[in-house]
Amino acid sequence: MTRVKKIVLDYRIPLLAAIIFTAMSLTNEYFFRPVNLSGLFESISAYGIVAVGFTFVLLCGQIDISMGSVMALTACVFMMLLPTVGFVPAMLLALLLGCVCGAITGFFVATFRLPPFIVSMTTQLAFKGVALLITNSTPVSNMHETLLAISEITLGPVPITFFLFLLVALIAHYVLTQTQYGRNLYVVGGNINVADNLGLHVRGHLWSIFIVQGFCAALGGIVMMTRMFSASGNLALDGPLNIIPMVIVGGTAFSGGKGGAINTLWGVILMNIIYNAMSMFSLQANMQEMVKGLILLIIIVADKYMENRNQKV
Amino acid sequence: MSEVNESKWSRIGGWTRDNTNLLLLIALIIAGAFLSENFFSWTNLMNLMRRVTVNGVMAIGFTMTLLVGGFDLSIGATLSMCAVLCVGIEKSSGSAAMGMAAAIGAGLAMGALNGVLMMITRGGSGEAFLITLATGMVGTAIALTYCSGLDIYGVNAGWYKAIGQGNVLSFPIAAIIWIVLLVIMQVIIKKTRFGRSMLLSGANKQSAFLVGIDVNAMKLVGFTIAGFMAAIAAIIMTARTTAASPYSGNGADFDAAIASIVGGNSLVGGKGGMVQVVIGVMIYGLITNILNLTGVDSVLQYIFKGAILLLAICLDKLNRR
Repeated sequence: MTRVKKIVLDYRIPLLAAIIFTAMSLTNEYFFRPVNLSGLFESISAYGIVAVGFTFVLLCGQIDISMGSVMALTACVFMMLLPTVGFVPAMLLALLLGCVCGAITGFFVATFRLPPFIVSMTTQLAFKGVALLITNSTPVSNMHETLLAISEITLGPVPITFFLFLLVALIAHYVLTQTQYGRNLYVVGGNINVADNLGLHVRGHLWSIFIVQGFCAALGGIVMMTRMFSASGNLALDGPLNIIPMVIVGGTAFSGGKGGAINTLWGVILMNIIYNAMSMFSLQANMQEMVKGLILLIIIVADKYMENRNQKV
Repeated sequence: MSEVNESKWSRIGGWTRDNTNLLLLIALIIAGAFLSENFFSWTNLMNLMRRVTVNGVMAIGFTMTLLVGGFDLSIGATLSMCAVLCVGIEKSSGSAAMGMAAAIGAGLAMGALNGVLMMITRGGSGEAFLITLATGMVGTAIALTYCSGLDIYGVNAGWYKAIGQGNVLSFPIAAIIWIVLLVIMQVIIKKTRFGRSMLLSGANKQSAFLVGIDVNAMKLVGFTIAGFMAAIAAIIMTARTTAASPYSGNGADFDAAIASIVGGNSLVGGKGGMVQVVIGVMIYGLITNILNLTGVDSVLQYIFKGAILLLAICLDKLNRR
């Protein structure tokens, strides 16, 4: 019995996802249809990849809300480069740009030890500004044949980008659990002073997580383009609002040092099923935003309450 | 910190470091005087006052949350929400006073919600940032739902319009409201026992708790004041434009944050006051004014403002070393 209890507790997020999925399939006639399912899997990939990158940041006890703007900026650059340099060079340059964006945010956090939320708030604004500036505040659209081809590869209702998301999550899981670097991140997140006393290069590790996050945001932006074929400076404005709950629900705590890529994988799937279910009940868009905000609020307060409940002030 | 036999130059250096913000303001005023010969005319100065008032009132609230060791990103959403409520209820009930009461009620409720959540989580500025990010999203959604995403136009009672547009002896009424609020808040935080407890709870909450200050109540008060100030700012703004948009608060929280921090209010809490708010708001107003005068693209201003804030927090960090 205790073993059953342990299994249920350990796998509560995927179980909950499965329950909601089954309940939705039974109660709503439009849910379990190929069109909706493929839409569900498509919507998972882009934000899911970014969520995996965000897991690295949270594991170190840091936060970065600039991921939406990095997605917008790299997607804009990618779409602008696509007609002239071709698919692969454009992709590589966009990924490099993502790393640079992450490195800028990480530089201020790691070197000056400034509060990451304020730094990422300013860089978010700046990246969005650059994206609007280079695109002249107009959307960049391009139905490039490679993008079209990628969007058409599917396995049943599951698009190829979903497997890319799985691959990213598995690589991240391998890095976090099997490599020296990944284990160090848990130490830095668990107690930054201990990590310093152990002789870890704390600043280097802090810097690296923001670069990982920037890379994942760029990859997410490109994946988003295989579905939207159009980028603008205001792309993924709701990125932080959607991505933060996915990671936290998965079990990676704000305090750092706890969680992992597989947790995030389940969190992403669960939250996307919930978002999809909200659309199924034809909730008005503004109301959906409100519900998402409330979900985020409850998650934050619950997580922080559990962390600090023994303190008096 | 100061040594007994420090030289004259190091003292000047120390003074410069402590008053970087004031020096920046003076430099900007001189730059403004060179840029435009009408800079020191009464009309231009009053225009400047009129322009900075909304941000100024917002910055008072934001500074209060900084002082208690928090950070409020939701005041922009509160501004939108109070603005649409103020004009919407004025329109439906025909009474401007009702609209204002509703706006102030909504502002207080939003601020108190933030404060209560801060009490529950016993949070610092990091928690406050996340909580107010989420409450801000809820607030924006409420504003959008209330007016279905459309602008609302009011019925324009005369005295209501006067708050935003009127003058007393050619001095804007809105600016007078701002100055009165500044003075009241300055007296409260610097001269009363309550205000001192508030600053102490922001500076070091553990020791504040040990000397018997109700730190959590201080947080509640700080955030509630921030919500109240956002409501006042919404009333001033809607009185000036006689219309409200659910998007009017977009970026207003960021403007208030820049003004507060550039003025010299410390991010770690407990250090700062309304003098810093005035300096910061003026610096911010002048920079925006100069950027507009020199025709800098509004998108480029985004980047510029981001850079200024980053510079200001770097300076804050260096000063604390």
